Amino acid sequence: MIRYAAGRVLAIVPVLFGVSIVVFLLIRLIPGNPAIAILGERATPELVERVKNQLGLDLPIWRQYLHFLDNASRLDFGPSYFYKQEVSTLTLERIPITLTLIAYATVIGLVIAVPFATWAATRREGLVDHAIRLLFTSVIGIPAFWMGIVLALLLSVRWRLLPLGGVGANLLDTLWHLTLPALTIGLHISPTLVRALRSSLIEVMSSDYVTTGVAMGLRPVTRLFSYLLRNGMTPFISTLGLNIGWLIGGTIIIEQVFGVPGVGSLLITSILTRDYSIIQFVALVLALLVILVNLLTDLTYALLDPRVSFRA
Amino acid sequence: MSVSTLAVARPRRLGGILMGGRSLRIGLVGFALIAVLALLAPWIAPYDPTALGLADGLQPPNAAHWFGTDQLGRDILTRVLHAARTDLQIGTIGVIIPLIIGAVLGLFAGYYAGWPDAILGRIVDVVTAFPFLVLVLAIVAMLGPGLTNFYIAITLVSWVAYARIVRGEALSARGRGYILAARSLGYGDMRIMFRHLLPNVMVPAFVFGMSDFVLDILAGASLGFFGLGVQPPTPEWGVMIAEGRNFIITAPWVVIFPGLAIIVTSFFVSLVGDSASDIVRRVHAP
Repeated sequence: MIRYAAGRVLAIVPVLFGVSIVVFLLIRLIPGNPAIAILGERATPELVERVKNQLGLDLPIWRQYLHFLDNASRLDFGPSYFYKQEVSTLTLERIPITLTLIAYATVIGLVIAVPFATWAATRREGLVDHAIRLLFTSVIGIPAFWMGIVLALLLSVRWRLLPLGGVGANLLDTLWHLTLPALTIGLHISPTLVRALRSSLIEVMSSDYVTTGVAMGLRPVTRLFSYLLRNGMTPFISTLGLNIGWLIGGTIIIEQVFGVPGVGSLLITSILTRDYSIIQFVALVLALLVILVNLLTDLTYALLDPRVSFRA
Repeated sequence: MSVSTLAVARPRRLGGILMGGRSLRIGLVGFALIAVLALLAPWIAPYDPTALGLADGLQPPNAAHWFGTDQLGRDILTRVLHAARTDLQIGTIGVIIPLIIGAVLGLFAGYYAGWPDAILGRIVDVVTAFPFLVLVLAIVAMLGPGLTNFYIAITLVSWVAYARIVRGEALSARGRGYILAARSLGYGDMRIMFRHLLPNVMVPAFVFGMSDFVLDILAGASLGFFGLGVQPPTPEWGVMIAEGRNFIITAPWVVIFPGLAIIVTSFFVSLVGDSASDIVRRVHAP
């Protein structure tokens, strides 16, 4: 297990290196002089000179990259000219709320997905199974922002069940205020979860130990919880990890729609205000989040299923 | 046997009959219908999609305006039909260009294995470390808003998915008899790759292309919604939803219809994609 974990952690190094190159190159995609683009057309020559130095624009490209790495290692991504604050502080203080929203949405997604997937899997190829598949096939196509608007209209404006926007005073209150965004994101990711859990349950159902259990007179409840769900959830965890990108995408959109003060709304706002350094840093932070989640899911999976570390 | 005994006695069969073979056909017909409506939009749409003030603003659906009108008095049905042209184009271009680039690179990596494969593998790892939407947004942010830059961003990001699929298929096919036979006949690498290997490894990539089509339409609409994609007054479903957003309480139809257009289109494409992947799985199964 330790060897597996060490190997898995080492494998991240080249990816991190590549991610840093992509993030570095992003700013170079800006047509024309990036310093002027960052500051706007009316910037003073002195200010332009300062940003050019900060980015190392006079250096050859590989030295610019080293310069970037050097700055990045000190979390120095320059100031935001719109917020008049350091990019890293500005972004990092918004991470907790985004992580809370992601975790909350995952829980809601699971609450929706587990019963439906179980129901579909136990009625495989039956009417219920097909109805559930059709239902979630149509959910895939619902744009997250549209779902957010419609749910807000129904649940907050018409029926006044949930608060619309705002941040709570304490943790519980914050969660209450995040319920509508989390519900939207949870619905957004539910089709992927239902599909993955359904097929992993079906696989478990056809395995010999379940057949043996049933032949020995296993109670349906024991069969469902101790046999099917317990074993079916394990491969499902890696699906959850693989879909973290999809989850983050939905979170970004929904944060902006509901005005949640997280990393996602910061990204969209910064794109609209052309705050390039923030975009760069947020892209880096979210890529790191994906890498971290994938590492954690792999390790959890290996811990739950010892065969993984033996095979590797 | 009456209908009711059939339903009670054999629910599995009934479910299978209802959806099994038909979902592919339903999906294809539905999608074809939308495509035809989109192509014919300039001729069948009742009004001008961009002309302002032709009618009173924010009319609810009625006989003259089936989907109602928006805040500027434009006919929503007309705009939904015209927007279909843009959104279907987003899906199509967003699949075809990355598919071609990814397939060629994946083919090379899978056929030669060794260092080309190792390099491709690293690039795929790096690009997939970014959430899809984040990288697309970041690239569009740098290049500037607009449809062309959106296509550039989509291409830069989503070719890796196709490369990974084709590479995996090519890697497992390169040891097969027909490739060895082609080699022993003295055929060149290019001929083997593109004439023999390519047709045998593309099916999973095409199947993935259908879910990617939905993903691209959703991404395009999201960018349009945030003002980063298609620019107004060109009708696009995401842009229409963004424009109607402020009137959602008094005139929900402005937002509802373009949203339904996205959902219905995605639904039919997903239906085709799911059935196709079921069929492929069944054919590939031992």
